[in-house]
Amino acid sequence: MLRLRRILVLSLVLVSLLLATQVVAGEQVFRFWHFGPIPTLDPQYHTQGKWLDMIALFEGLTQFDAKFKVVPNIAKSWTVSDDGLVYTFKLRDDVKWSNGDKITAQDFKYSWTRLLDPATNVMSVDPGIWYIKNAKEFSTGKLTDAEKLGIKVVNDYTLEVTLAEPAPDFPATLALPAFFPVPRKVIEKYGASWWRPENFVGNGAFVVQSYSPNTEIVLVRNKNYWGKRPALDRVIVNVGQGLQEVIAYQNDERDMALVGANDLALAESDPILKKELREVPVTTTEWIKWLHSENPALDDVRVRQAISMAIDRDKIAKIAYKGTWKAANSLFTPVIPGYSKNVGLRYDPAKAKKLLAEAGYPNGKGFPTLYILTGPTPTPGALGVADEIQKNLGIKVKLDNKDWGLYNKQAVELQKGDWVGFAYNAMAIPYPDLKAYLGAVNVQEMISYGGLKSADWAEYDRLRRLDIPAAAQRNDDAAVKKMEKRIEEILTKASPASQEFKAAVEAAVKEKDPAKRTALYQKAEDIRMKEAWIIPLFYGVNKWVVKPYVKGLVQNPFRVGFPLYLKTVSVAK
Amino acid sequence: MFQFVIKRMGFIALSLLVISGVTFWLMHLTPGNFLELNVIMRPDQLGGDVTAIRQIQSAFDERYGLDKPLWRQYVTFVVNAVRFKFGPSFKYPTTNIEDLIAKGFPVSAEVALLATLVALIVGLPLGIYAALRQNTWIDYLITFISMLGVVIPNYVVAVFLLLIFSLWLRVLPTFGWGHWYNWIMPVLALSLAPLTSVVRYIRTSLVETLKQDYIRTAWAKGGSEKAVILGHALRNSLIPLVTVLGPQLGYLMIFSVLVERFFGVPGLGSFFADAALERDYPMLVTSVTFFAFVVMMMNLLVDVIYGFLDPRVRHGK
Repeated sequence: MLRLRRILVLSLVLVSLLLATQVVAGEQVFRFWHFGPIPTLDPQYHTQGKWLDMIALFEGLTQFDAKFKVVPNIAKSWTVSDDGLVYTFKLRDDVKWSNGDKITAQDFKYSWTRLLDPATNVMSVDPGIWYIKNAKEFSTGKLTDAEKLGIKVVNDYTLEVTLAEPAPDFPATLALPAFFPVPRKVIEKYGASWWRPENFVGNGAFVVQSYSPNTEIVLVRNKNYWGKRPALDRVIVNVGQGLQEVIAYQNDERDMALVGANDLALAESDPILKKELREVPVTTTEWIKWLHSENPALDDVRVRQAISMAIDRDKIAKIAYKGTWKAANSLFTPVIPGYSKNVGLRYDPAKAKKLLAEAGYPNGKGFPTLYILTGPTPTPGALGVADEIQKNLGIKVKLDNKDWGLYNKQAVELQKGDWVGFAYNAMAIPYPDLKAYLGAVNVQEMISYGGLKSADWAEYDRLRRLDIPAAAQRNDDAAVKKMEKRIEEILTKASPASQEFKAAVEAAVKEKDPAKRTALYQKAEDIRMKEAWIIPLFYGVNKWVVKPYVKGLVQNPFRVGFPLYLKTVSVAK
Repeated sequence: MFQFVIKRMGFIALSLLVISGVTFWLMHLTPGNFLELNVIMRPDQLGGDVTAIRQIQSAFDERYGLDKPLWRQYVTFVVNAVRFKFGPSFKYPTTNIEDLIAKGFPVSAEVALLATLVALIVGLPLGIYAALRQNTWIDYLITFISMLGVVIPNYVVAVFLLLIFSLWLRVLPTFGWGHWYNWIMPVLALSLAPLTSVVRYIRTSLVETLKQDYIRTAWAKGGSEKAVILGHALRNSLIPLVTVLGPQLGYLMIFSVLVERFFGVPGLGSFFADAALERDYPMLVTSVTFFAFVVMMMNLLVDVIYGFLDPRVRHGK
């Protein structure tokens, strides 16, 4: 028995020694977990890979600073024409690929054309790519001449971009992965596997050393990086489920870890973890969205307002979410400049009851069962919301949980029979601009959606989603024109509030003064919240533990709290 | 024997055709599509431009051949499957599925084999010991422990291993691959279920065998304990064990999804796990077919081994 124990102890010591030797002395290594799998590192595909690209492997014309303001990067400066349509970017002349080649305006033209080309069909959908003139026409095959895209190379270090409509947020979107340059020579040589470690060429502070899509990706410092030399020599990215991150952090395998709601009690009771715990407010918002139905019970704005005012969000956030979410008053999150506390409706059960009674349902009497459509596993928040509405309004509330495939189908359709209710979901925006919350939604789409009664919306939706595309496929222009006219007729029936919403958003898009622009967006958001087309519920607040020796780390609120850029991070043990 | 194998291979091919056909048909019946589910394409993201959405979808369909009639898609799949070429999946747009299999399957298979080996090394002596000490407290204890193995799923075992080795002893990393010590926890977690089978089957069948006349004869001849038990009894007791262990090895290779994902083993499980939920059609139909192939091959292997263990089978009885 004694011998057995000795052997055991000896082998344990051996293993720990081996573990310790993984890190070479003097080398700065940073280790963190990222969502997995990472199916590709091509930044123009919409996968988790493009976000890892943004963290370390590629850089665009612009970047964000620690306060999430847009700053020049590869573009050292830019000018905008008076009509807001033509952007002229002056590029730095010292920027290189990791193989030493220079990066010029040609690289950007090639990359953005590749992105939009239906033949390569890489389909990243970061906001902003549709701003470019003729981008939509080219990417959908209506236009085949790439030269007609609004991308022009003036000389090696001057790039001129023409937009389809004014977009003050265009420079911000250029910091996102879809706009990163990709190396033409390497892509033409290796095809789809150009990004694999053996072929990889990028322009970020790091390059890939090894790759396994769902286990581990190792990055090393790019020796040809044009900017300031990063402090880190090596980065180990664990790619997986992220189930045991806190244990891995305690076991000294990670330098930072996301603490989920389940691990929070552990982290708060552990003396070391407690000290290293920090809050990262993120831009994820949970909401419920009104779904039009054959039964028009929710067409009455008072009913929707009553529902919005009947939800005690603070209580749910505290009890069900244990503080990992906070009460929301709008879809704009406190993280971004332009957020206002004064937008939207407040929790007020007495007034909610009164509104419901005015709408003809005193104490919920006579109101059909209210459904909340959710994904396969309802969140604690969804359960809390259902409970609050039921308790405060006397309406019977049921959760309708569906597989995501069915959810997506049902959430865009007219609901059948007596199914009245909302769809529960969350969204996160990838860059700091109010327009991302509002403007990503087509204005016509929004007013038709929020401003039309169910019956009108059903006709509008059928025309737009089924009949017009079908007629267009038959090349029946006369029918298309007729139906488009019918849509305009329907839209005149939209509620006055929705018309006001439309006016505010359209004015904001053209507004050059940032303060006025923000005010217009706030006004639009206030209307949307008060009309309760979408009812805001919770803002995400992620908890992270970070080792005290990690310096220069900026956590990205647009991306869960992962590092914004690794080039600023150092590890001083 | 050769004829037998050829015949069985024919049946396997036929079964694969049926299995992949049904899978193909079922998955196209299910609503939902990959682009929507991955939020690559939602109305609000394309500024509500319905025409653009339809066109992007049709470009995607064209790229993956989804615009062809179903039967043609299926024929293409079968032809490609025979050549072991499946092309890229939706989720892994720049990697061919056959490359993922070529990388992942050996890892899954090695882990499964090792787990089975551990199960045999630990399970055989325990089972034999329990059979020899039948109905004593040690037999009950061994049986009880092996019962635990039946009811505790391997991912729960995985969590306990993680607690012991990573949190308390701090000797093993929680996650990762590439070093020998990364194998310890996945193999241990996976070995519990086959270990249980080994103990129970060996015990039961050895107890049965020991009651046979020829064993009494062997004792009567004055054979030593070692000769009687290992030489006469054990060999015949192995037959039922082989029956369960073969398919179990097949299952371990492909159904270790949870354990593989938990410890970051770059096996097949992690690639195939989300395919159904995300409507990744190429990955889904390939994985189902491949899994079926592996399990059927394991069954065939078992039958061949039977031949060596039991002369009656070998001589076509």
